[in-house]
Amino acid sequence: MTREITDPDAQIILEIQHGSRDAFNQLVRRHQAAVRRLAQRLIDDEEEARDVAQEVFVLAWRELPRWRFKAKFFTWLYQTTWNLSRGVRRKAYRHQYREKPPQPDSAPSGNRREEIITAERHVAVRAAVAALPERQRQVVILRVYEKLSVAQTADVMKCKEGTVKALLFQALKKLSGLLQTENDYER
Amino acid sequence: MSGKHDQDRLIAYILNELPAEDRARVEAHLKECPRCRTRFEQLSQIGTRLNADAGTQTDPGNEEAFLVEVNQRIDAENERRPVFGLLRRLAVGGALVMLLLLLLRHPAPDAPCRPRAPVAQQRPDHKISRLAKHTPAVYPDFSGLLERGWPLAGKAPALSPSPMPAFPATPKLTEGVSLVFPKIKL
Repeated sequence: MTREITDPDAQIILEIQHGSRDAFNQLVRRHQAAVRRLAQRLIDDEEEARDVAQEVFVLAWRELPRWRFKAKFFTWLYQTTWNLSRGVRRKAYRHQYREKPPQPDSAPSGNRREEIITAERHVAVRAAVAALPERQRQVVILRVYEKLSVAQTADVMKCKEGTVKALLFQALKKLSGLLQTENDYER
Repeated sequence: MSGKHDQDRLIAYILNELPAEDRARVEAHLKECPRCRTRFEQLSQIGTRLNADAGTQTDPGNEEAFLVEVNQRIDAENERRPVFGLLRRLAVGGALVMLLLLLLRHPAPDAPCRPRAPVAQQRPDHKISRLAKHTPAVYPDFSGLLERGWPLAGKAPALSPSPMPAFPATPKLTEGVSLVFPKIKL
């Protein structure tokens, strides 16, 4: 019985399995931006995120000779990045409230003031996303920030498409509540 | 649009994922349906803010530098791995040898016992001498026994007479006679 391979990376992976380092480099070039972006989204520290992204590709190099094409490679990449980043995030969790957030300059004027307000709004959105339960946060990051389709998100999260839709709806409702509270507080 | 279906479509609309036709259809529906409009107003604000935040993150640069670093890490790991592999194999081999030795030393319960050496070949004082060596002085001294060759030379020699009084003879039971036990002082 033959299984149809639908992974767009399948050809490159086959070349890697024959020992081609160039093919691996091609694979890294293709996916590194997404992996680094996701890691950076989950870990505040840029250097840590870079380190995690590199670790993901080193793991891929180790894993690909045994790759059976049961899942799509990008799914594995997202899952591995998520898991490694979560480990780093847990370590950093206890330090996050010790560090003071950057304070805006006193009495800014004109465009500078607007920039600061916009930046603060982005910070508030990220804080609200970070406050979501794990699965809801994952679905928001994959669907809204990484622009994955419902099917791709379901693949990465190992769940049904209906679950992804429901989780996203719950997450948006919760975020709406969180940011509404924050707006009321600002007023 | 109704129920769960409109909820999914509304989210797709907020996330700008719908084609133009569907967008127009959703907009037309929103004008007519106050329930969906309320829900849309709740969610659209957060959707806009999320989309705006998602647009702020720029794609990480330094592509070639990143690739070089990944390759360096892989090379470093490849150099390290043979050593670790050898160490791991040695450790596993050592553990197997130890296990084998343990099994040989302690055979399984079903395995036949090793035949014991004949009594004549055993060292006469092996167990007792060890016991006597560690026995404190208040306990009976077995060294005399050893000199007399016990236990290999047959009967054990009589020790000191027992301090216990002799137990009186058991009375015979006969019909019509009540059974009375004598009092014994211990």
